[in-house]
Amino acid sequence: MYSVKNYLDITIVLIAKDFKIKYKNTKLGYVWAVGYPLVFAGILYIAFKNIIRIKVDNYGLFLIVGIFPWQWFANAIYLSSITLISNASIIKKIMFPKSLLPLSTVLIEMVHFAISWIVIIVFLFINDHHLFYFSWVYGLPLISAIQLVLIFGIGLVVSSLNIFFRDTERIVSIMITMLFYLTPVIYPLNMVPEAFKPYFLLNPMTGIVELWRALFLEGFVLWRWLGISAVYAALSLLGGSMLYRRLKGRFAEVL
Amino acid sequence: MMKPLIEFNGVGKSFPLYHSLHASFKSFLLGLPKSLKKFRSERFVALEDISFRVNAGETLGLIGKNGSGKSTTLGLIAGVLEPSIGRVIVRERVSPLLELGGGFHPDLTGRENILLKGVLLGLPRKFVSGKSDEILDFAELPSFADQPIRTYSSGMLARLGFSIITQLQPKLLLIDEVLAVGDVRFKEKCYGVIEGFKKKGVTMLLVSHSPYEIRRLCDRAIWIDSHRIKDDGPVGRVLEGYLKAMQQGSPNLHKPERIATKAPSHKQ
Repeated sequence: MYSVKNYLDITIVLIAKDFKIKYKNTKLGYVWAVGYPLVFAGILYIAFKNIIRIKVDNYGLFLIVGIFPWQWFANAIYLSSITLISNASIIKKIMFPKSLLPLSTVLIEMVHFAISWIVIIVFLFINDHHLFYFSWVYGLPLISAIQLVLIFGIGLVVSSLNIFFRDTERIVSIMITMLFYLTPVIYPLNMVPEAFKPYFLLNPMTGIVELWRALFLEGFVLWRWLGISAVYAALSLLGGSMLYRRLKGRFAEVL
Repeated sequence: MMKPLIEFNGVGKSFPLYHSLHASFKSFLLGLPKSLKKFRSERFVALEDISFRVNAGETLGLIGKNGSGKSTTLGLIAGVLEPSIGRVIVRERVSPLLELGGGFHPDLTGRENILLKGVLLGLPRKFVSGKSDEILDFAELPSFADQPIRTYSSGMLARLGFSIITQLQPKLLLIDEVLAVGDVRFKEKCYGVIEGFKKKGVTMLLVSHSPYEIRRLCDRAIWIDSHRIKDDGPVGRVLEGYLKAMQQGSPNLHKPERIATKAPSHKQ
């Protein structure tokens, strides 16, 4: 019934709609997209570099490069959990591919992440770091695509479940906070004791953060992590779409 | 011979009851097998064994008391609801439910809502933006085009809703009591549009509590009573039966929980 062109049009309009709603009443507008993670990084820097005195060179740069992809993950998943509910008035009246709602949420947060690349480059410049690696040409789209699929799959799960159990969004936000400390964002993976390392492998964001850090700071694509992350992304999409398909027919009757 | 545009074959629809659904996650998990059973058993039956066909070009009125299942029927045709049993076949582009205040995003402007609704209905973005001035003109809202929808009155919303759907060249139109608001003049304008569609062969389903509207606009009517089809046929006959039953007062109205809202006139 819907063509690819329709899907594209709907996604574009949904993204435009969310941007408008998000920034309509704010004075600083898009600055918030990078402002929040920057403030967050600043606080973490003070706590971990100045107070706890973590032994990591260039800690500011190290943090920034981990926090922006993390923010994409955390914001997109939290916002996905509420996207179907906040669009209830549309879902109840019009039959359309509802999975485009979490998809557009994830894409909006990806745009925010892409804007943050500028900030990352500014930080590389301030730190007299190498400013461009050729591997970025394929590394950026490749890792972005994997992270996009990973988040979209989880987004489908949390958005569908939250319609039936409103507790889902609370659980999601607690899980995200927990996962933040269990992902090597504020500390490097090699600081993690050997005994804990296997558990870190179970966290799909470990590989993603490692991938971004190596790409931005050293210009490498860590192919092994890429493979592992791609498997996680595929599983996430598979699980997410299976659950979504099972539940979507009942969305309108319980919203 | 052309296949009917809409077909309902033995359709039933039930909804989970509110309290059983919104039990907390904790209590749900703790008594999982029990809650699942409860979830399945405590359901409200909105439609039972509904079968009818609508041919292309027909204008059909749905009548019946509040809560008899008319809106659920439209929801099934629009595809936002799925039948619990039976089959619903609709051989036409998705059509929106035209309902009071529905399907708008309060923070978006009139123009933005037009675009959103248009593309969600499966129309190309460019086509919809090209049409938006026409839509606003018909709704008599050009000066409110760039105001957020939440500032609109209910009459304005109904006008906007009606003109979005009608200006986007539908082949199938589902109208749920939307003509009840709006002033007499706009109502007359809407009747004009519907009569124009009728000439063009647009298929329409109309839910209305106004016998005048049904008689004026429809060729055929279906009377739904207590979730089942009571009568299906020419407008005159169906409407007459329905009005007669309403005057006598159906026994359902005297259930204790309904007396609070319906009974004062009987008691005095």
